[in-house]
Amino acid sequence: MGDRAPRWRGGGRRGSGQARRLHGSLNPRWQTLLRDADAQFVLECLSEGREVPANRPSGYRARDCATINWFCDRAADDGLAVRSVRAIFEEGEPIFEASAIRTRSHVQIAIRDRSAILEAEEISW
Amino acid sequence: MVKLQDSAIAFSTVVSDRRGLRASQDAERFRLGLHGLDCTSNSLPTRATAVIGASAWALKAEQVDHTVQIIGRLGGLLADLGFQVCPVGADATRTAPPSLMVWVCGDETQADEYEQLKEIGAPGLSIGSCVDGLDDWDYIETEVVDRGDELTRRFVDALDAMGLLGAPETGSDSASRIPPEFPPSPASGGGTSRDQTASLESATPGDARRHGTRRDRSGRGTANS
Repeated sequence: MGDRAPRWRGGGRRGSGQARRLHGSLNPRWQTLLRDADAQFVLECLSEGREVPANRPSGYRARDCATINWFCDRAADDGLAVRSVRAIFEEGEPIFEASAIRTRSHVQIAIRDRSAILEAEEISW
Repeated sequence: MVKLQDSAIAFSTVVSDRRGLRASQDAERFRLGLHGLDCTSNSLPTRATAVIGASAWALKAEQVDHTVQIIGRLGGLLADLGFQVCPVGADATRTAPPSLMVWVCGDETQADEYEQLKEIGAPGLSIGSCVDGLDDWDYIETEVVDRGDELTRRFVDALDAMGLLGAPETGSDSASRIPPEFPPSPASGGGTSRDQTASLESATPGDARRHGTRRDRSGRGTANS
């Protein structure tokens, strides 16, 4: 990407990779799958004497992360590759009374297979 | 027009297949009378401990798949509420009474199981109205389990009623004991989510009245009397 590479540190510029075939957790079917995956992941943690990671109100989402990683690994065991993961996290206070938009809401995207990135664009603001 | 296929379909059996393969094996840790698992070695010793167990009835082959799903859901919820969660087969239950005993029993608790639960000496919450006569125990009806998020709401409400939420925490991260989805009740100056919970419960006749109460459960197929 050369000079167009995003600079995450310093300069106030942000970059974003544009990916295709995202497996978004916005899809209700994915939500159901992940809910089941979380229950199974927790069960296995307990039955094997491992600590269950916990999500924290501070925004530290240890179990969201662990559950998704666990699911991706189990899918890989079955020969199914998850190339990317996308999820919305609603955090912070409403930007105005009754708003559904919160001050710290964000989308997280994890690209597990770099070939899923078809094009990269730089965004500045 | 390009028709996009739902990418989730291919993954739909990943979890259910694995659960089916392991359910019986995983479930054994939740049977009373078995020990040998150390689940507290990596945690702060001061955290409140919740122990989960299941009745022999709930662990039968016909029910075990459903039972382990419930255990997984409640175990995750307890972890998010700040508890150190252990299966009843863990050695931790032999050294000190846990702060909470969660008992997934469905329709039946055997007499010897009842005695062992009594011996543990902890406040408890059963999923299924199959433990009667133990002090500091409450229950959630089995039917609630399959009503989506209602189990979560009822479970958190029951723990709150038992004084297990928002209590002074000796360990870290005490704020995590009240999840953001369930702020304090209006009675304690809280917000509206609790109101919504109440109205949802009231939508099913009798549910709001039954919640948090102990009714006469004699003759409900239990083996504890």
